[in-house]
Amino acid sequence: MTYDADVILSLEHVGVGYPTRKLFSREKFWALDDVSLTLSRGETLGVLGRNGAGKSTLLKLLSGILVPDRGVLYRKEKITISLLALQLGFMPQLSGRENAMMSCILLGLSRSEASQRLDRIFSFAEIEHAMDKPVSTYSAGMRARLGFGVAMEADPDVLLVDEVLGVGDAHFRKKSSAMLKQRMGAGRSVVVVSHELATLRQLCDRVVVLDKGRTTLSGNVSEILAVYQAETENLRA
Amino acid sequence: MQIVDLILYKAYAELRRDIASAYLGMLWWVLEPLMYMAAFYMVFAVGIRSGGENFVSFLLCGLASWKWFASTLNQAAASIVMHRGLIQQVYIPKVILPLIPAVVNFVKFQVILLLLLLFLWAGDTPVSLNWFYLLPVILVELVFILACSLLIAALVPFVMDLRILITNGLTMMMFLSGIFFSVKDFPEDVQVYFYLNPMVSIIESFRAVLLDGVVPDWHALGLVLFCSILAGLVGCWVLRRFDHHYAKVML
Repeated sequence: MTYDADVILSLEHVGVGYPTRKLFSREKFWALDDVSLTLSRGETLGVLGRNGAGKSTLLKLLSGILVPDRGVLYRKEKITISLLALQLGFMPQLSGRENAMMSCILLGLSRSEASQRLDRIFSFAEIEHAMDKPVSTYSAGMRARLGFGVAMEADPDVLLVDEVLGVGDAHFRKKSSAMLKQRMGAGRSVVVVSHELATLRQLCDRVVVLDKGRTTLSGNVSEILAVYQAETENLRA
Repeated sequence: MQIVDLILYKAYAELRRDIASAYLGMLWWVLEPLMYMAAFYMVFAVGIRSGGENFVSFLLCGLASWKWFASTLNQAAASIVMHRGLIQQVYIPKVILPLIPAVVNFVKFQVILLLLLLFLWAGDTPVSLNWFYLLPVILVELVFILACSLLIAALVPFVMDLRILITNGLTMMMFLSGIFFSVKDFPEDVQVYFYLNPMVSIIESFRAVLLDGVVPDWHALGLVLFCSILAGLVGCWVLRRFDHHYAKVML
């Protein structure tokens, strides 16, 4: 199968099943049943779904933690994809510097690449003064900022974002959404997963609706929002 | 993924954490094995008094190599389960998880080994150039430990019950590894069964080199090495085969 040169990730009728916890049973629970979507370079894709629709499983599939049990997943060569996980592998007893190194290496950087980026990470997070203090002495906001700084500097081709970024205070929130927008401008792709229309409307070019493990709708934001809202209202009526 | 960097930095981070989270820090690397050995010394050398002369050196050789094996295995068994949160957030080749405690404990073993050598040197054991034969013995034990670690780490997530089995199995195995007695004191038809346990040959090799200054039993060590490599390959195969499956069973 051939793909548009711009497509960096695509799923066709993909299913992911979890083993049921019964001994000797081959039965599966299909968290993702039939999912199809494509993601192009520089695009911001929104995934809209209620609780239990399969959003987290989809993110794990896209980030390579899980692989499809059926269907086809295409990932362009040498594409790095990672989940925006704040405080990835942090150990509170270690210093901010050591934890940032650890997170960067977990995100696929080498030791020397990681150490070169430390200064930028800490200046972005605005905690240069606390670089060598143990993370256990950081406030929750400082930790989150450090985690966000690491994720930005690790700079994957596709960043996967779960829900709203409630990172730090208003000033830092502004700075981080500006950073996300700037990434999008620089040809990096983003997948945002949310159960809220409002979040996706602000950020995304295109939206896919996920319902009970199936992608039911896909298209540009305004179309989808109109259909989705109508459906939700029908449900209520 | 920079696998080597990841293993080494994670091992460094865990060592640093151990140091940072105790008041006595690095001193515990020395104190802990000393206390461990002192406990057995009191039971067997002061209490039961089973051994003849040189019994303390005999005991310490066994304990040093055993402690390295047992500590690594206990941690390796838990290595994937312990990182269940992390493997839900980022893809990590699962093969590396049991290798982290292997590196950490190899570093700690160096301290124990140094203490052991100092003790022997201070006592009346003659220091000999033949001590260099210890290097291949250590290498064989390292390979054996890596193999067991990979195999056990691969299986525990599927059958959690194994962890209980391993903790208690190790205690049982400890008393069958010839740490407190010499297997050679048993009748030959019983000895055969003892040698099914690779730690028996490894511990005997430690003693042959350090206490008697003779060449270890290459034949026995070669057999251990060969079986370990096979077991290690099976472990790697399972870990790679189910690489993406662990995130599903470890929720």
